[in-house]
Amino acid sequence: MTKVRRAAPRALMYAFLILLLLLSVVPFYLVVVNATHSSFDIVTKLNLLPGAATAENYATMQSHVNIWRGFANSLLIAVPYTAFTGYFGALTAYGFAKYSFKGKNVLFGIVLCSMMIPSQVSIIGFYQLNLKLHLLNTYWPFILPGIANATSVFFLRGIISQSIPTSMMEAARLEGCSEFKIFNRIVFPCVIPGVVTMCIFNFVACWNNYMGPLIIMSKTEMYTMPVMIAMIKGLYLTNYGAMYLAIAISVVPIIVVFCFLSRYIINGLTVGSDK
Amino acid sequence: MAKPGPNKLNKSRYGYLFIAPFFVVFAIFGLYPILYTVFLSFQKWDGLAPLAGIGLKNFQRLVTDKVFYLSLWNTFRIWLMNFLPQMGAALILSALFTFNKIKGMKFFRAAFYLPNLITAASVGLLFNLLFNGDKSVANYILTGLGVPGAPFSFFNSGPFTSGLVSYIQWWMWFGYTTVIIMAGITTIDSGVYDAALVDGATKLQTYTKITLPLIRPTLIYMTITSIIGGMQLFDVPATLTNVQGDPRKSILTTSMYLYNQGFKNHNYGYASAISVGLFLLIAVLSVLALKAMRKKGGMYDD
Amino acid sequence: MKKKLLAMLLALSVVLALCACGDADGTPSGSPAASPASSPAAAPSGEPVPSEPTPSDSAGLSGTLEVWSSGEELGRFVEGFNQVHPDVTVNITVVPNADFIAKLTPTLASGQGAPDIFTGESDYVKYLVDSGFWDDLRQAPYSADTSDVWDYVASVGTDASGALRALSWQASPGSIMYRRDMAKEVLGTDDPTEVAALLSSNDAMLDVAAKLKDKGIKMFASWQDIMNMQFSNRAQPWVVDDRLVIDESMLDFMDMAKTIAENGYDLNVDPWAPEWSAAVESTDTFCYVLPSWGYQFVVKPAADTTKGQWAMCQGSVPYVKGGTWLGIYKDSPNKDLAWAFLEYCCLNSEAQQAYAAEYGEYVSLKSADQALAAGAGEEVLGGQNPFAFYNEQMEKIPSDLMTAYDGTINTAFLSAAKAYATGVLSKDDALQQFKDDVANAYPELTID
Repeated sequence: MTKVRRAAPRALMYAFLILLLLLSVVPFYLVVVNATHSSFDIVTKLNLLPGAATAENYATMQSHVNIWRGFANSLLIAVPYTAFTGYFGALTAYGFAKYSFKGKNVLFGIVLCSMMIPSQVSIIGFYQLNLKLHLLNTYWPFILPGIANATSVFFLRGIISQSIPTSMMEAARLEGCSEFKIFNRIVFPCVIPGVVTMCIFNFVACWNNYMGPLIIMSKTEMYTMPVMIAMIKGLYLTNYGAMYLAIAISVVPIIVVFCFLSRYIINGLTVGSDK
Repeated sequence: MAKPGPNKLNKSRYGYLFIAPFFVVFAIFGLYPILYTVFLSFQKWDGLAPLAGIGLKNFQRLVTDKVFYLSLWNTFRIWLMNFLPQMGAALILSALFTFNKIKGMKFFRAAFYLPNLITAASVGLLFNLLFNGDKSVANYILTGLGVPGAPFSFFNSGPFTSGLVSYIQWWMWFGYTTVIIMAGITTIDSGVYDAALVDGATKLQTYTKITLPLIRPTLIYMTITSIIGGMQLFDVPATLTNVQGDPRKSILTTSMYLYNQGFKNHNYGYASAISVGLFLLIAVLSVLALKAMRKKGGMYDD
Repeated sequence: MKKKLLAMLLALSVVLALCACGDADGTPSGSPAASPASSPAAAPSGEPVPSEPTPSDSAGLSGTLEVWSSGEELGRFVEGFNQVHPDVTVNITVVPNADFIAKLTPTLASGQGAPDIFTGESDYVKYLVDSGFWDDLRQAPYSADTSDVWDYVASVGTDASGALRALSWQASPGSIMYRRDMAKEVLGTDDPTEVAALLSSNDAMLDVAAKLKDKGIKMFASWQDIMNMQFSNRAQPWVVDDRLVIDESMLDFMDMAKTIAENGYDLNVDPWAPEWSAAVESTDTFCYVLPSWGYQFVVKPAADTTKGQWAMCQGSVPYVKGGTWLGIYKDSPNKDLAWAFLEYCCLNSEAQQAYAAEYGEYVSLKSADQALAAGAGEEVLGGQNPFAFYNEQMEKIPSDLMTAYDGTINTAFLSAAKAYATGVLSKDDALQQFKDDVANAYPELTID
């Protein structure tokens, strides 16, 4: 009897999880399957099984753009950007979380406000700025802002203020550790799970950035993945097969990054059941 | 690095030092575009002819612009309709993952993150296949089941289209929200739970009475970033129907409206004024949310 | 101590910025801003033009030409161009059309980083033509001879003062592309001339739609496609003397749309929706109302089992829709190269013939189109020669009614017509919505 009573909610729970799993995986699966179908098939029916047009799609895709070049370009931007957001995000968050100084709240307010301006029109100012800095047709305008990533600061500030006891810092100071060393040797390793969580998110956001690279880059060979995907689609929306193949290719590194970083990501903790 | 003195007061300058790189880079890359947008909001400019200062005219127009208010309402509605279920799903999932040993937990969590990886362009096409036209997948199924009224013109219905955008947003972000909330939960000392469970509290009581208050900073983070991101929503509604937010502007978000005023109608000054207006509104909403959530605990500023 | 730290920080940021700049300048071939020749905004009058453009006998040109194009079709001319001018490198950067203006505006506004040649799609070409950022091609040193260009193409490229700002390598006359098998079954004939006679007015088209419906066939893929054709019925463009003009024919079209929607004469989908595309291979859809690119990109590539079952004819009125124009940036330092390329694509009949023969695209020079009209017909069209058909249409099309406002106004009108056709709004309310939308987009216009 008790067994049944315990099993029922458990079954319900798994049913719920599996429902969400289907909602998440099926559309994703459709994208991958569409990469193997011809454009006409894609726009006219819902394809559930792999097709035979992969090679054809690949040829179309490569005739429009050099996708691997775009892939490399996107990596060239996203990897250093992500690393910056992780390290400097934690550093800035640590400064805000653990030190008291004049104007702290105002400065933190500025951090938050920096996320609130819609990017659509400010892209004009962004172009002019990079023109003046002589950074057009370079990747710096996309890499360096990783140092000033407000989302990471906001998130990690909460994590650090909760999980790093001030006594830990005091102890390190008594042992003669410099403030910088305390951060690098003690604080940063402790918050790595939080940093990694943010990094995955930032990597995806950077990898999918379309408008910025389109405006700043005027050389096809410097275009990033999302810009190339938009180019493949074409003026008359006729290259869907090639477009889906490119999307499938562009998702691969994100999955790799996710799997690789999952080991470090916060796993949550399981309470009760196994005790 | 020279060893700092033991005087604790001196340490505060390290606060400035640690946050300095952020502000230096922000001053170089972030500030100018923002200031330029504010500057443009006082100009009349079609993108090609020389700028002409027109004072507050753009803002005078903004406060009486019905489409602006409509777009704000659309954006807010779409955001709220996906934020609440998103938080709900994430809280339930994180509770399940925290209080139960679930086989394949990592797999589930990774899978829930997948929708976030599909670009908006493919999302638009995918959902058109499902819902656009009498022979779309949804209509095919509904007609087959003999549902009265089928086939439906889904994209002629404002409420349906708006709801669909909310659903897509929910679907793209609930996995991410779950990951973030679980990250918050790990910062709680597990001893707290043991004590509660020993005291005979149920799992539900433990979660609502202990976990939720303790992860308030994470919840605040989630809410504020969701407001900021949600109020700037652009790609999904722009690719689902057309950039005008059809049917009848039911999914015209403020970001789409300002994009159209700028790059389609070439009113860049007015588009900038909309940007500034939206910015102010996001700031107000964020402050309100912050105040509402801080009130109870006061934990935010540790 | 405090000052020291601050100084260190400043130094760090300066070094960082310098590194970044240094790297930028070190990029091979340089960023546009780095090359001294491309700062025209600073010295508009003293702009050094390397050599005077000399049309026709300009072999021996060399250099690099930067071209921004909203589609890739233009790139197909490069190979042939390089046979004439082997020392000219043509860099074509394809910019996705939806965001072409977003990319172009910052460069034109700052006067730096703009290409030598850039394209303009029909939705916004008039805006660019009127802007003055393209050189007048009729003036020296270009002195373009447009006698062989279809009038419509040159007319769109001409601004209010009569200056020719842009030309095109293509033209896009409209057609009704219908299914021969269904025409035979329902109308008793599949001959384009006879079918055209049955479709010679809007009312006649609706009569045919009713006949097709009796046999379970939908006349149109989407009624929204017909709008482009109906624009030709107007006596005046959307905007005359800064005043919005709603032509009587547009009101008639709204009723026509409602009739189609209410009677189920179309598939009840938007153009480019999956089902709309699928109609190429359907058993129950009669026709598409699309211009020449519609044949090239929608029907021809998808027709498989329906190969040979298609034909094109005129509907109630001849029309033109779409197209890409190109012009030479007024501050380009490579005007000689730009002119050589533009002339090759838009005014060289042999080049256009070779291009049209290979890709099947209808081109902008009469002589090239006439040469191709003599060739064999298309398999998909059951032997009909589309060039012959299009030539006939180009002779008949009304004058150019395009304005700089068309992109936005067309979309707003379609949205209003849709609301009326689907029964959501009354005609008056739909028109009011249309007027409100136009007033909102262009407050400077007078709207009655």
